[in-house]
Amino acid sequence: MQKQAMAVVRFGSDTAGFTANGIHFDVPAGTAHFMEHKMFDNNGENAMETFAKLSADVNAYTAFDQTAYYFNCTDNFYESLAELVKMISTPNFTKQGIESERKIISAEIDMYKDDAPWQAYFGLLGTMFPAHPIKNEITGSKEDIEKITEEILYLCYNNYYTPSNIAFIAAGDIDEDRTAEIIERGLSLPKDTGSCKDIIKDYGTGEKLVHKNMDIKMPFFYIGSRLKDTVLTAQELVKNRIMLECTAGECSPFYQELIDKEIVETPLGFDVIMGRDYGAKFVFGEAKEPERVLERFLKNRKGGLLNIEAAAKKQRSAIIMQTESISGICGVLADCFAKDIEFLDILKNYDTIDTGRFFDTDEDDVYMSIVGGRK
Amino acid sequence: MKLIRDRVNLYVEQNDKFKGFYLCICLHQPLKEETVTKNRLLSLVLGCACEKYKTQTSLNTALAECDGAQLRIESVKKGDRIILQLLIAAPKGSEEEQFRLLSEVVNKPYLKADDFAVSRKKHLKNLIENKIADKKHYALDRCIELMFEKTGFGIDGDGILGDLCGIKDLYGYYRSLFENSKIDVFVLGNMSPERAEELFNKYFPEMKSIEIKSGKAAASEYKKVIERTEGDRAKLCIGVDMGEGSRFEKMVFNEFFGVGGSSRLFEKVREENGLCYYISSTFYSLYNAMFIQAGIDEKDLEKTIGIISKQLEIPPTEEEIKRAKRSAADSLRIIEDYPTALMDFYLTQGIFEDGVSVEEAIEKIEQVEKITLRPKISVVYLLGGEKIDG
Repeated sequence: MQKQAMAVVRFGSDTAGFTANGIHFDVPAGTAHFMEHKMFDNNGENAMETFAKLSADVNAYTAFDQTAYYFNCTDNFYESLAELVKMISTPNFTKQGIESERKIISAEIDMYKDDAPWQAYFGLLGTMFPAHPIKNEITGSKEDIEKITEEILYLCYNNYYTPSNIAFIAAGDIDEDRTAEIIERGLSLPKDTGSCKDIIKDYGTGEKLVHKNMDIKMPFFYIGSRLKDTVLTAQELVKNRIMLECTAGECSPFYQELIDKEIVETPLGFDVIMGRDYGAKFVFGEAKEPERVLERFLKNRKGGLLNIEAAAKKQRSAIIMQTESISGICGVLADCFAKDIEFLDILKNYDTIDTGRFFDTDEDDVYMSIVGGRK
Repeated sequence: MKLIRDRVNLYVEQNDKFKGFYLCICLHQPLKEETVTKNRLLSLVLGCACEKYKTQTSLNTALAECDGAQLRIESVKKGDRIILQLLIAAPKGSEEEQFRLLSEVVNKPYLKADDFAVSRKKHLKNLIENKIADKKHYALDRCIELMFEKTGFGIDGDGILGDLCGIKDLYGYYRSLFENSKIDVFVLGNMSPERAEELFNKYFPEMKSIEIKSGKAAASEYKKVIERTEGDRAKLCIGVDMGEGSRFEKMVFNEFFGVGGSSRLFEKVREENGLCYYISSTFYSLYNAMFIQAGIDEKDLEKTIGIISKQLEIPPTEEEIKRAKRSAADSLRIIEDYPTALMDFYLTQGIFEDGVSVEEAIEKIEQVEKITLRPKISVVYLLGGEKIDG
């Protein structure tokens, strides 16, 4: 049976600066992701090699509010866990290592340039949040990563890879006590510095409609609206997800109209992002004439209100099915840690939804980003 | 996984560790140019409505009310077969309702009305025309087509644009599928085989499978093809003919050669030479081929091919084989934790005459002692950008 352990750090692309001991530090865009790559440098040996010798498969990802390092295995779980703990505890940032990593990350940045949904997504964030770091691509740009140095990586490591910012998550047929003991024994992190991430209240305001050319037949679009003065709680997350299901889900009058009028051909996707100083809701998909989707959205955005219970069931089912796999469980729990909310609170909120308050959110600013298809 | 061979092949995995319940019906057909487009169109039309739920909204609402069930209908290419898969999945607790809902869609489709077929034809046209948007996937598909030209293995499973307009009587074709298909049914979740069989007989009383045979994949002679599209980074796909030998030996080979960050490809092409961000290989047993995929700069094409060719010739070390066996066996063990991966494993194994269970596959991997394969590059396919630097 599969087992997975994950170390999740509350440090992601949404940190543009922080204050520690009364001094303010700027963090170049792409730093969290760059650090994720460099943590694999295990004093000369690539960590992938170290884990492969134990038959474990190690990987990592960076998101807006977190960096997660994890491995999957069927055997040697405890030995691999000890390696994961060591990996998080022993940074090895060298000038030479940073130079060679720039080349690899540069290729990664190029790869995303071809990715229409990714480009549409960050096009939208760029115009919705021009004054906020959430607009930055996770990797940063090629110019951004030129600014990253050993000193910056050590500075961020010492302030963020600290006990209060890191959680270990493990799933599978494992012994809890032994797991905890290995973590406690091996973990050697910098002390908490009480560093405070910059809180940026001002989102800025960009163009309502942005467009990027790309040679694709079917343009990709994102429509978004910003959540203002929202406090990040399980209830708010659930509320917004259900609201989106009602607005744009497959049972919504909005989606039905888009299908009937042949404006879209496939179900729309939707998502909510929430952090301590930002929040937004999105609807996305593909359409020959995306502006027509926006036009219908503006008329329908208060939602269909036709079957909130069914919408809640759909969303609840989606989250339960997400935890079908070991890696799904770890991913969901990592996200909860990054946001400081309880997973069970999320589930509970689906059962106790307050239908009366669903459509209160102020949605007067709606933005759209389109990739591809302009004459 | 228990297999009950009766009217159909009914596979049942009774396991209370799954949080969901999964029911999937798979109709196998030989992959032919004349039917591939109809099959794909069906996969798009069947989920729109059925006789009981005549609009998409009413069908979607019925699914949402069934504990938020998801219905996924796909036309999947596997070797020289095309398989229409109809899957319904939901958190456990509404198992019989899932059987009932899927039976409404499968047994009483709403195909006589043309409205959905017309709009879905337009949709399919766009999907086929826009395939190139996913460049990595497109490069793999083109490589497979070039490697197995003029056989079922080389037919594009996504459908043929020119055939779309001429499709008539989709309902007639759908009915004929039930006379001419090999049918596998999968039930995974906390349900006994007896109960699964009882519900299958209740909701699908007329379904009956026939046997169909697959051919042997024969790779083409060496060729290099470069095509162009917009974009900075080229997508490379190399099709490697794995030649003679057991498929388990080939799985082990693929594992040390191109799976994960400690593989030869990753070490030599990415880490030592910095030629790409991603590179990996996948062994497709039904095609007897390994496909290597990488995102590279076009100017580095020859250098990349050179490194890969050299690595293909260097025999694996004992340590490489030992590690590859372990990780190949681990990937098989993990399959049992993922219901849809488990289904896919048995669906594929059912195509081989000597199909095996997960346990047997692990045993066969563990029995691999040495690797004597002679893999040979058959196709180098590059989807390049418009301009070449340097």
